[in-house]
Amino acid sequence: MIEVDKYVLDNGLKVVLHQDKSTPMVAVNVLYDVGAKDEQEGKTGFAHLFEHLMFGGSKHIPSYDEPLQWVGGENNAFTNNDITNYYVTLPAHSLEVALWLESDRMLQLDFSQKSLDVQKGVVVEEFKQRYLNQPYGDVWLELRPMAYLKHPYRWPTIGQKIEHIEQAKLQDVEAFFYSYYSPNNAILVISGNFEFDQAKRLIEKWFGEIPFRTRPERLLPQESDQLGKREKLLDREVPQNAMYKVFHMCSRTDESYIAADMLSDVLSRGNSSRLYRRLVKEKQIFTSIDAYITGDIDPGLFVISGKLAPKVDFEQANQLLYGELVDLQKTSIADHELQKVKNKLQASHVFSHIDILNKAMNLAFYELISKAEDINLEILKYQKTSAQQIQKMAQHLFLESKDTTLYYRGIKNN
Amino acid sequence: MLDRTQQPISPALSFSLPSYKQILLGHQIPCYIIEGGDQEIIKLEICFPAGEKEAEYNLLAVACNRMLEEGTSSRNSQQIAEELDSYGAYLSVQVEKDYASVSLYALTPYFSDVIPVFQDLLTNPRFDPKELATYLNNTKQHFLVNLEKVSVLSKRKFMAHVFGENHPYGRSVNIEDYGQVDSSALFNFFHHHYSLQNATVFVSGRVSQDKLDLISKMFEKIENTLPAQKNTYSLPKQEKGHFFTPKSEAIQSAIRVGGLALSRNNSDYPAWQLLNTILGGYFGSRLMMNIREDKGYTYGISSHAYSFKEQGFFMISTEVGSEFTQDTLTQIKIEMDKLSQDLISEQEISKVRNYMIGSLLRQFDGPLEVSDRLKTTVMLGLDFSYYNQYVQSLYQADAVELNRLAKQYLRHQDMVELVVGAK
Repeated sequence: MIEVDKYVLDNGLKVVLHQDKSTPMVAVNVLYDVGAKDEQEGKTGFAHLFEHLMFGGSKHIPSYDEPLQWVGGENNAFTNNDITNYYVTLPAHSLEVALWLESDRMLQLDFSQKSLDVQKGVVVEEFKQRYLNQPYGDVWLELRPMAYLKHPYRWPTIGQKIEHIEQAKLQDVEAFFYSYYSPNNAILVISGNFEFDQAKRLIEKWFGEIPFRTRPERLLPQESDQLGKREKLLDREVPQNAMYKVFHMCSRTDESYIAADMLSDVLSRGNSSRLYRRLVKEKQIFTSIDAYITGDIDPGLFVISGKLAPKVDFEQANQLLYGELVDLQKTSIADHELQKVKNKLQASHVFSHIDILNKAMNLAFYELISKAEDINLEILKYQKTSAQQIQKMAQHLFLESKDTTLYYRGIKNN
Repeated sequence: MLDRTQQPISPALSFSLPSYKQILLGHQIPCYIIEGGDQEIIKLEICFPAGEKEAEYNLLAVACNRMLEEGTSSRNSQQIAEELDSYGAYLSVQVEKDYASVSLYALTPYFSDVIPVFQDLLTNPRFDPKELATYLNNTKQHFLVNLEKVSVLSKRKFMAHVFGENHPYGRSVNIEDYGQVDSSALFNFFHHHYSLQNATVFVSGRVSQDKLDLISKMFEKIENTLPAQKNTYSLPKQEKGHFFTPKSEAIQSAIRVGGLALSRNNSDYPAWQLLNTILGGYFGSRLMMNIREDKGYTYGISSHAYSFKEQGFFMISTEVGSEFTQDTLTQIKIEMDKLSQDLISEQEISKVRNYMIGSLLRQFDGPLEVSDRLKTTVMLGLDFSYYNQYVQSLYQADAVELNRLAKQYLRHQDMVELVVGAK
């Protein structure tokens, strides 16, 4: 059970508190409801670039990292298509330092040309290091625009191309800040060792005076239904063939999301899972395979990716993979298999309660899509899912007309 | 009026070593117990003298460890997987240079259900030739993909230059090794290195007496098998100089600079760690502030001061835009020289010391974390009180001492400087 105390400040900041006195630390998580999906066509990569700029100093505090290092704190952040999430962990008695830092950069960033120029360079190197200079690094740069023709999920968080990042201007940065960085567009979570009355007092002290800022309306183009199979073949200097197959699925808040998640577990969670046993161990068609869901807030993707064993061609691999998918459509899974998946989920659930930062992030995200205090109900939904619901999901998802596949052919000789 | 320019006051950091219990299983096997936590979980980790350095070649040690879950005399690979998965339990295997371990993570209500399969795979592996072939085929493909990563390539070359390519700490897996591993080699390695009489046990989480009784039973009747055969350790021979491997159309260069350095049992080690952290061990380091935050050459640059059981080493690593290769090499030398020439301010030392103690607190947060720290000291031949001494030494370290260490150990002219990418 994750016990939660929740309230909202006058300026719209949502606050979620979870006390855990088993640790000497406290985690502070600030989630901003802005992600790559909120960017403009032609100006992509901005939310992520902006995340970098948030560490360049705020109105009253020239360095974000230094004061935190002084008190033995660690921090980082991440951006994805839906959100930008900042987090700090530090010894419990320094909680106020984290709140001071987070509130000042929510209040006003110190916009500087030097900081922008440097971080552009850093992000360009990140683009190269993670996407261009890695084997299979560009898969999602290719796959996204294949799967999404209209919705902004069609470009990756890092940016559609390097040029977009290089062209970012300081006035764009300022406009972005005042549009999306505001208390009314944020969720603050504190998880760990703290006292409620002290935490509430400090939150009011540091965040109370930050003004409400009108946030632009979010009107994202809807993705139309996919009408036919899509596929692409890429030749790349890698040693092994790979394939990446995606199917459109529902949004994170849809009731049937849970069934899709469990379906991915049936397929590939753990060494006794179907795809691993049948396609990797028995038939040796793939040397590795994975089925997972993207977990996007707007309708996301069900992904199956695998590396093919040598001498196996794409057609054969695709056929055998479909064999497994059709099997799940034809026959609902047996009781023991269903129970096994539920037991694995239960174990994950229990293990996820250990780490206060993990809890803080989950609470923030859950508050965004639903309400934080319902987080404990989530596992019950999984436990209640039937084999028939999973079968129905397979019937709904795995259609050739809804199939988008990237065939990644390795042309490197060894 | 709220003054946002003033940092709120916080008390000084303090570190205190958590406690643990130690018992003997079967009258001979050391067992360390770290009880605690709010969640109904238990972790049982069994360590063996079966690290890469104990094998003729690295892959033998790794394969033996991984193949334990691929079948026993009474259970095949699928049965083992089903049994563990159905109880929500999972296995974690680890092979280091100096030791290997097999861990069971379980929810306490099911611990008694999964202990039998855990005991089985630790004591009766099958090393089935067909399963082995599948494992080797799949792992080889993964290995070939890894060789395409500049970070992997540069680390392999670096370790070979620093320790010697045949030295147990310097050598890597080679493609030819995949043709050498067979069942009899695995059985041989297993019998010499995985016998329970040579185990060290770490239990953490909700460790009640009934769980300990079950674990004790595992060690009741240990066959006195062959004693652990330890390879004799030879001193490494480090090369010096610049080594370049071109990569056609490289958009980035991977850079590795470093060499042999202090070992963990040296009394200067904590101060050396402090010096390393200042140079490149945290986000605010000299290297990060220069090469990333001032010049934007890279997504990240860092330095590592690490110690295997017998020997420590030092490595600066980064991937930079190709056109910045030369200047990065120059700046790295400049940052090392600065630490030798100028005394570090007391302010910087204090800040980094605090950061390191905060890190340590994080690494001791919860019984599973504490168990990992304890395991490290025990398996590397140190006492747990090492951490207390470590913190004490951090407080005692001053600018003069750090300067001495810089002059002695940050001599770039004595180091390996490696570039994979563009000149």
